Amino acid sequence: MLRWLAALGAVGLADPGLVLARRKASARGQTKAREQDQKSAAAGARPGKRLVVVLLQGGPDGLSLAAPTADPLYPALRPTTAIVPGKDSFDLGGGFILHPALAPLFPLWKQKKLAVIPACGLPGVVPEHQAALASFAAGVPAKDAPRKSGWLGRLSLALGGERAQMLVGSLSPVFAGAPHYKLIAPGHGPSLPVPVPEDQALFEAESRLFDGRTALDTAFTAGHKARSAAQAKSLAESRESATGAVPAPTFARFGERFGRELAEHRDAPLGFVAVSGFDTHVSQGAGQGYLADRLRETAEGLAGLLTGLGKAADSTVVVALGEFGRRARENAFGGTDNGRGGVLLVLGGAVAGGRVLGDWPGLADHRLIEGDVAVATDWREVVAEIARYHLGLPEKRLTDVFPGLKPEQRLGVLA
Amino acid sequence: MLFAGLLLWGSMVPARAEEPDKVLHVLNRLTYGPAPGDLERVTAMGTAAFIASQLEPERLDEPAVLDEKLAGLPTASMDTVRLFREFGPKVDADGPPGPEAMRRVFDRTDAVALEAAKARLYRAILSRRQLYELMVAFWSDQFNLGAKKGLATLWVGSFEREAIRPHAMGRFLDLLSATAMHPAMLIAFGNWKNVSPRHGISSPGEGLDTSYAAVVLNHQTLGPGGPQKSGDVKALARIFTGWRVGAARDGAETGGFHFEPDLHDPTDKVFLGQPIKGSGVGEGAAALRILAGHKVTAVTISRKLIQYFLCDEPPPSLVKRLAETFTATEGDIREVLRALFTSAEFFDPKYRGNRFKRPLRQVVSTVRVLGGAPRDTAALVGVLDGLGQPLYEAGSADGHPILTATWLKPENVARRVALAGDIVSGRLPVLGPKPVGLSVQGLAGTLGPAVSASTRQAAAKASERLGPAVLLGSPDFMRY
Repeated sequence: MLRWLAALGAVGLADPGLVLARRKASARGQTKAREQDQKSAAAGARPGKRLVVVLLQGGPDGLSLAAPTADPLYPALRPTTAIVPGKDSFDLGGGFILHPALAPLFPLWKQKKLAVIPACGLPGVVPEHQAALASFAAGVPAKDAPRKSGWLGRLSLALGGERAQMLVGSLSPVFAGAPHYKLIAPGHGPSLPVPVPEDQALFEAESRLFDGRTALDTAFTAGHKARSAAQAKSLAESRESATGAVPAPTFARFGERFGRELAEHRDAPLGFVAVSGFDTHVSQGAGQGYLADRLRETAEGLAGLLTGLGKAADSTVVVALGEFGRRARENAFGGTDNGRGGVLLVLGGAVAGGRVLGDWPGLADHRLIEGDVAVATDWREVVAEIARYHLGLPEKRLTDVFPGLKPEQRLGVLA
Repeated sequence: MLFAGLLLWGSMVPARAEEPDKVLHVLNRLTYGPAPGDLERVTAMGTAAFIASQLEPERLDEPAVLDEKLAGLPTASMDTVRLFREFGPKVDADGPPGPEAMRRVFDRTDAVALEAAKARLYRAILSRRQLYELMVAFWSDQFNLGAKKGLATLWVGSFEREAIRPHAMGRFLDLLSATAMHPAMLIAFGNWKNVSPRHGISSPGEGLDTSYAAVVLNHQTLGPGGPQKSGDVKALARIFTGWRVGAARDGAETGGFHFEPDLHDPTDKVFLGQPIKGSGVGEGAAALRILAGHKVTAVTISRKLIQYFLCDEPPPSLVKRLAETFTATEGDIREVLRALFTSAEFFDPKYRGNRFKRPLRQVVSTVRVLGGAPRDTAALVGVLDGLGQPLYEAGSADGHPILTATWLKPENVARRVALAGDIVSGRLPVLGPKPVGLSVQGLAGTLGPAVSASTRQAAAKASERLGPAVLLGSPDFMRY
């Protein structure tokens, strides 16, 4: 995967402006799909209808984005990272509040242009970045064999055939197999801050007090050392998990520009950008703090995206999701580790918003999957619904995009 | 009037103030740790009077704020039968019987169990009956319900309220009997399905089940290595056959216990060398009386109490004396405690301030020393999970371990330091997001001689924001 990215990356990074790239479809399945596509001339996105996918890379904490504050187990699972409800909380109904840092999205909810789907993810996802990003890109459950093409690439082909266009803000195997894509490089912007462990100073002060030879002193010294090592390892993982994505602080401003580009490129029904800063293993914070800052930036970027789209926002659906969610219980470092079910946001004028959609399995022990929020809604079903009923993808082409997916009923994300 | 007051004053104030180390030791061992003003109060009344008052918890009023907090937990005052009616399986609401219907029940039992844990913490932090609360925690380990098991989870709180609290400082036999007959215990170790199979009455697969009998003998009374033989376990299991969970059939049955004579093995038994005539439910009472009155039980319980309150390696002389008290008073727990807290061994300076706190004490003592009532204890329930002592969730029949060495682990110590930082900074909003009025000077005053000069200096040298955390995360505050 890294080699693939490097090959593509060379194109994008050379020129901060528009880059037009073209890749030959090589996978066998795609060739077949292409033949079918050429036969059925009816395929093709409805004019002006758009889908923009924003990958929140690193796996954002669903229990912070849409905090289940009505669940009594929530503060017990999250002693230091729970969002505490207050009189200013933005109530979503159904027992959830929206993270206060997502304030730029509050107006969209009120205008019914934002829907929230908790406990959303890919069934069988492995809570490990590389594997989860690969299965996100492939659009197949983790247990299935990986594919050379990405689901956005297949969707692009299924919608527009050989002439299909799409716009991307970052490179990803998710659109591998797309006939054409344009990279709108965000250019230089603020990079991702590194979270500082909140109690470093405290541990340093204590290390001067636990300096004897008692069993307690020895235990502290070993515990402090192991803790520092584990935190360093987590921070390295977070850094690595951000590879290839637009840092959230940069996305805060880039969103609007990306929206303008999308509006200008009427021939491109699809857009993609990956945003990083959500792998919060250390000092995640709660209503304020590291994750809150990243969420604010992301919300500014998402709201900006719709602003940039202008009138075109009315016929656009934006889907924002992570490759997975995070564990239900916070870890020992005021952070959360990689998990399964997360939160998916659907935004745009074509969305039946102002609602929490999908099932919520809850936080009781027996509802968690190995300590993670379960995946109650398959994100592919959300996308399939948008592709089918918003973009106008013929029903029989759906399995080209998501092999084996058979949505049972509509979630009702569209207005 | 004035004269009477003077007399009272004269009787309350000891001739000479006791040494601060001794006062602190008594406070440390009979409470979850000093709260603001406690050292002064106990110094003024004298340790003997303080110990006597803690041995009579029923005469101590509870603070209004505790009542308020408990009133906010509706299930924390419901009895076993009511909990079952309100939160147990509901055919109409849960859908057809099956895994999903069971999951819906367990969604509710988890929430009820969390309220029980929150209530326990409110009491541990705020109650004036500190010794009593320590005893509730002690017996909750001694009569632990084990890993989560069906409806036993719904009843962890009602088990504590109905079986443990009424007898925590009463007679051991009453305590043992109350736990044995409680539906939570009947479910927890499968005694409810321990039957003498009878066609048409018992369910297929039901039969003699010795699990609970083994737990009673090996964990709750005689302890491991006692005089019991495998035949005694089987005999006790046969004695317990027919003890079911269900609606009361007559006045003798209450609270969800139900005796089913048709599923009872009516033959005569021999238990620990004593003949027990087949007589129905009364056999169980006779067997529990034998166990509660057994000299080995007296030694086992006495040993554990010393380990809980004083040290990992109990002095044999003290064990012997407490066991004698236990036997002489027919298992009067209050008198055994009195013997412990008036013993010379208890006051031996070598035991002062050298024990590593169990996680529950670390958490509760931290909140107590800050003063004031916690806004919510749910986060603390989660903290105890992280520290390895989740309330009502110890997996084994022994409950959470008593011995210090079990807890003295690198990760556990590091988590305690982090906890100090989280609480002082308000990241853990137990006293609200911005705790006010915390100062090194104030905390050091509350803790008195517990804070060494080096800790006080280090805390004073740190920033105003960090200082209190340095003190609460120090080695001094991890010992008691």
